[in-house]
Amino acid sequence: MNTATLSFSEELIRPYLFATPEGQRLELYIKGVHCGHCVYKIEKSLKPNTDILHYRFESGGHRLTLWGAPQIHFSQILQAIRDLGFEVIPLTETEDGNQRDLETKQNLKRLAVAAVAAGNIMLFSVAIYLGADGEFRSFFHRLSLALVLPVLLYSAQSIWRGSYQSLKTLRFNLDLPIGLALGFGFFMSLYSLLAGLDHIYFDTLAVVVFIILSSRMMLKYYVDGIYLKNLVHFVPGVYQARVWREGGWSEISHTQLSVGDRLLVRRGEIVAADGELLSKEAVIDQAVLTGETKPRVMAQGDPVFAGTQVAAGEVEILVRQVGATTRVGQYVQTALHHVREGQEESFVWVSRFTAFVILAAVVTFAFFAFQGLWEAAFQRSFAMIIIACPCAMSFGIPLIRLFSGQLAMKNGIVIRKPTVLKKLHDFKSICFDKTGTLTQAKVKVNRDDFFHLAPGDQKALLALELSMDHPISNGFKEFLSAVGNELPVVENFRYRPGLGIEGDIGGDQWAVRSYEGKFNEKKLQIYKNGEALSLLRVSADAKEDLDELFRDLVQRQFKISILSGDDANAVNALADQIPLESRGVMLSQATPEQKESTVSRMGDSCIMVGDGINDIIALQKAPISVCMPGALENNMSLADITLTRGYLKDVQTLFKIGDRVLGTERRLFAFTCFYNLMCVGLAGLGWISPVAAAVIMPVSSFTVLTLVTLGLRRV
Amino acid sequence: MDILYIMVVVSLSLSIGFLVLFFWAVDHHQMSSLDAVAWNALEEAEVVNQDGIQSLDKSKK
Repeated sequence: MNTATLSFSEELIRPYLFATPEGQRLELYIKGVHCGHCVYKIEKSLKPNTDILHYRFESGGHRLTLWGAPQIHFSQILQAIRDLGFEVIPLTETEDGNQRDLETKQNLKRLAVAAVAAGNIMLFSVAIYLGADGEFRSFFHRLSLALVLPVLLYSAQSIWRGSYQSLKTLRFNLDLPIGLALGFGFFMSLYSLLAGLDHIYFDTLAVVVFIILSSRMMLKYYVDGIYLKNLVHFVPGVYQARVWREGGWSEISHTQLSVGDRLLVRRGEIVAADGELLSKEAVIDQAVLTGETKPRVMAQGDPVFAGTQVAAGEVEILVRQVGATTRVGQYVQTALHHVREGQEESFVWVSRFTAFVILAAVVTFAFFAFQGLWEAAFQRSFAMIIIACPCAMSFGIPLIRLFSGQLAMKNGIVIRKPTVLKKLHDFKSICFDKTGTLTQAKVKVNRDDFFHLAPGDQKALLALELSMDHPISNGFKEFLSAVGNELPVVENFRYRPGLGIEGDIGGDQWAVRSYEGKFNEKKLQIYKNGEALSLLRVSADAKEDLDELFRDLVQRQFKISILSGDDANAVNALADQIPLESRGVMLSQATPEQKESTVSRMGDSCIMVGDGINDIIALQKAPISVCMPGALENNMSLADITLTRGYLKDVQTLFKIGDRVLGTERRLFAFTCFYNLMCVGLAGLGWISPVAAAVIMPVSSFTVLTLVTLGLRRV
Repeated sequence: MDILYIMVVVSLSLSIGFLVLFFWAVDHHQMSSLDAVAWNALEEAEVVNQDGIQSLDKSKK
């Protein structure tokens, strides 16, 4: 039960309203309706409202149109429906939406005409096959001709349209050979009817058109359902968010959130943006993203993601990403992009495949026609065209992209380009940034050392460190509450990679330099006006799963390189954990430019994994870039892959998903080759009739769907 | 066997009658797409997330 306490407002709904002569109209998509009782519950809630003039449910109860009087408060109605447990999403009436609905209706009508005509023609054909002769034979043939005309001229329009497009653009698709076969079959049958011959195939043409249309419709419905099931439950609808504005909490539309806002989310409410937890603790239900049924306990500083739900209490979140740049937003964007563009990747193969099928059919036809065996020529070549199926390429590959993207997202991985997953297998070189990637993002600064400084020096040091976003700087943030938020202004701030930072504060020159020491005993030397002031001990522990990651990479025969702005001792301490034969370049005190040139020199087989601002140019240079959470605003849009949780084991998961994608694609292609060679061959030998071919072909399509679903169900 | 002609006429009349009723049902929203409205919501969410809710005013007919 949705227990959200934020409500709709009339302001929020205004862009969705349409004026009518009687008042206003609102279209709604209702998520969660799955039976007649759901519709009944919603109807019952509408009836007492006298401002509703009338309403209409469509699409199985998912679409509700409301017509209301001018004084109607739609926000109250939407809130009442939401209180019943349904998510309500207002819609605008776009042309695309109507077009899709119109297309479905037209397809249904065409299918009905094909079904009725094919059924009646088969009745007459049965009579002919059972021996009807003389005037009845001729009468039934003529009736069949009259009935097949609406099938070919009306029902088969999509096939003619596809054939025309194929010829116009010279990008062959399967509509072309089917269209050619239908046309040829019709004219051959017409000639036979007029000449009193026996080669009449109106029944075959009508039944094949019916089966092709019905199987395409079922397949489209099923595949669309898969896409929608994966994507539409991420749509949050339109709702309010509670943000800190001008000294108090205000409710605004979630689309008006900005990076840096403080967001307050109460129990049962949906988190509206990606961010960082400001509260000490939070219990978050992440089921919508990861599928986990148990809510997770998050600590201060942990990342929180849009679409998740607060399971207990109320939490404050610092907004880091909004809208399309959130983790779920990026996933939906990428998935929608591939739904629209997915065919592009496979059209070359579909085109070649279709050309091969046409050639095989023409050769078969010619072989039998030259021997005077016209019936065999037509039946076999028609059957070959119908049974051929490039389904692995036409929808199998886009589905693999969708499922692999979702599997990655469940494991905290956002992939901008799903095509990189299958390429991972070819890469044998991987470069890691150190701090924040292989080691904890937050460096621990020794408290005693810091508070040993004079209060004024503490504030100056804090001001200098917090002038940049760096793991070492971030380690000073915990002292803010003790020192206070009023920090002096830093002028002439400079960052020297591998050395430290410096700046001018209140007329004094301050500098913080890296002090050589063993790994885990690193120190920072503080300088004031050129004189050493103090030494601060800092430590950055290696991430927990580092050993396991290195072992896995060594097993995969990767060359592991570490590119770091840190000192040589720190880099060597990590390098010692990598066997000699697997060690690549170990670069210390590296500038961003040096990291970039190292990645460049490694050529086309290098994966770069980094997090901070100083990794951006190296990430851009690498053929595959993987970003850890760090300077999110910059890196997420630049990297091919983002590991949103920052766990090193997610690097291993990435490779496992890549293996699965490659394995599934190979199985898919193997099945398609086997199926097409075997079935097209059998059809050519006359073992499969055109009607049987029309029944077998959708079976292969559903087999492809099953292979993809099973292959990418889990890592 | 002349009864066959009558049977054919009856059969075709029933078939045409079914088609007329079916077309009527489709035109009166009895067979609306179950998914079209979900695609609407998905694609509008994409627009709203990128351009903000006010952009919807411009996209309305």
